[in-house]
Formats: sequence, C-alpha cells, structure tokens
Amino acid sequence: MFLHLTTGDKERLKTNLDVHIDHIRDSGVREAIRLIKLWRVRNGLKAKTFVLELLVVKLLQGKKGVAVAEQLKHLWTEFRDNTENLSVEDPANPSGNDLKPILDEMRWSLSAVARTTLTSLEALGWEAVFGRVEEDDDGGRGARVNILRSAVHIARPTKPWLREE
Amino acid sequence: MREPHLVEAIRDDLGRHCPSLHLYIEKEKAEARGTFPVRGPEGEVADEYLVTIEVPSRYSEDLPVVREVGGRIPWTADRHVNANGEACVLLPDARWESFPVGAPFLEFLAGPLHSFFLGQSIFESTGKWPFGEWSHGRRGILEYYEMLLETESTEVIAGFLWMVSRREVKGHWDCPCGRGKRLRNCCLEKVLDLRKKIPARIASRSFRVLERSSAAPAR
Repeated sequence: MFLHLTTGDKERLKTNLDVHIDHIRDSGVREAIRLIKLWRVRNGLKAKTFVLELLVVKLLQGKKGVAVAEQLKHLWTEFRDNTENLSVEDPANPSGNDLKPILDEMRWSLSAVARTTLTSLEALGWEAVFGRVEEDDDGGRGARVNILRSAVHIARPTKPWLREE
Repeated sequence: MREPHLVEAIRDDLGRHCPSLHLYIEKEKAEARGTFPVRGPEGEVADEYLVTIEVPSRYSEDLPVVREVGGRIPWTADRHVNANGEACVLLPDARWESFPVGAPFLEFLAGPLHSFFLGQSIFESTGKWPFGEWSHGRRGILEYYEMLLETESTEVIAGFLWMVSRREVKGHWDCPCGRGKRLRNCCLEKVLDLRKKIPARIASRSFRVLERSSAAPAR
C-alpha cells in the first residue's frame, strides 16, 4: 500500500500496513508506546504517530523487561540528549523509504518537550507529566468542592464574553 | 511574531506556569499547545484542558486566540465559545484591569485564561458562572461601559468611546456626557484616563458596534 506524504521529495511511501501492525504488536513495549502517545497529546506535539511508534520501538530495543517508568525516562533522555542521531527505518520497506524528513520535522520539538518533561518529573513527579490520578471514592465530589473553593481565592477574576460575528 | 525576546519571554512564562504547554513556531506562526492547568486553592492542579493559544503577530496589542481542543467545552454561545472554536476569554475593553497591553504573558495565563477555564469547570458542575458573565456582543459592551461610566445612556457611552478612539482630543469639543459643557470644563480627566486604559483600536471597534443606534457627538 501507499502512504501519502505532505513533505519530502516523494509524494507517497510504498509500505505494508500489516507489517507495521505486527512490528508494533510484537515489540513488547506497547504500554510505553501508548504513554508516549498520551504524552504527545498532552504536550501539543505534532509528531506523526507512524514514525513516533517506530522510534519508540527502536529506542527500547533490549529494554522490554524494564519497568515502564524507566522506559519512558530512557526515551525522554534520548529525545533530549541524542536528538541529532535519532533515526528510524520502515520495517516494511527499510531501503526504499526515507523517513528522515518526517523525523526532522519533529526532532527539535521532541527534544524541547522531553527536556521540560524530565525537569517537571524530577521536580514534581508523575502527576506533573500525566495529570492527577482521580480518586473517585466520593463520586468526584471532593474534586468539585476543591474547584469551587478555588474561585474564592481569585483576586481579580475576569468575566467571559462572546463577540458576535 | 517578529521579536525573539518576546518569544523567549513567553517560553519562560509557559515553562514556569504551565510546563505541559509549549510554544511552537511553525511557518512564522507562534502557537502554544498542550495542557492548561486549573489550579486549586493550594496551587495544586485541580483540573486541566487541552488548548491551543495562538500568539498574534501584533501581540501584545492584540489578545491571544484561545481554543479548547480536547472536545470538552462545546463550541456554543452559552459557553462563550464562537462557532469557530475561539474562546472569548474576556471583553477586550476590560483587559486593562487584568492584562494591560505590554504585560507579561504570565499575567494572561494566571489571570484571564485561568479565570475562564476555572469558570468553565465550575459551570460544568453547577450551571453557574462563578464570576458572572458579560452578555454577548453589543449588549455586553454596553453593560461594561454602563458600569465603568456610571451611565445607562448608549449615546453617552458612544460619545466617550468616540473620544477614546481619536488620535487626539481637543478641549473645546462638546463633552460626551451630554451636560452641554466644553470637554475641558467637564469630563476631560475622565476621557484622558480612559485613553490610558483602553487602546484606541478597541474603543473604535466597540464604537462601531454601538453606532448602529448612536450618532457621533458634536465637535
């Protein structure tokens, strides 16, 4: 099959989706892949899923048995410190498809966001990276009450408006 | 955005206040994307929204353009979001109170933007806006100036807005308050004070919105 490209010299890549699916499924690091994709969304990164997944699988070779937390730290450290050397190959067409242009588009953003993430992780822990874990014993009432209490502490609140088009 | 020092200042402010919100410069367009935190009374993250914040080329004269992109807030008027997804975080005429032109980006994040999303969280739970809300469009502009100028006259409000929108004002002009005196013998200080607070472009736009039913004051 062909994947359409919006950047680079070629207009499309010749690849095989089944090979990709198998490559990811058999990687042994699907949890890390899921979390990196969540991290991507939470940080507004425009990183192509296809290439990001291949990158994670490649960087975690030999680390399948490691705890997910350590896998993630390893990934972010690589993104931050080894930016220029990051590379991936299409498992379905390794010599035919050059994924470098796609990776180049996201390389420095990955590095910058990874840097901030590692700093936040060190200073504030995992909740700063992936958000608060909901403790829903009270049906969320505690969280709602907390939000309401927040309003009292706002010194100069502003009111929303709506410009009519 | 043409000024590198502004870009760096915004990056610093984001890093300090919202570490999951990042400034991306793509094709000369500057946009912050990621997760905006709503903070609880002890500064803890109490809620979060996925957002984009476009930093306009005429920042900080123009306000950042905010969109919630996580699909949590419907793009409807009752949630103060336009059909194109743009959130009306605050009335531009009122920005001098919380985020005046030239203020650091951090003041936008910690001030109007935080109030907006905190308000959205509370509205979700209670159906009420914790800090109130301005009516939409023209009515909201009038409400604001009725409060600020302590008048209910649309004509008077339009008159003051007209004066704020001028490049300069002349003391011999008729005072917009309608008491029949010259400006220099009446509300000159009030007009000058307004001119410091409200940018001429904003006043001009609000005047145009109102002038459908008001005429410009006599000179």
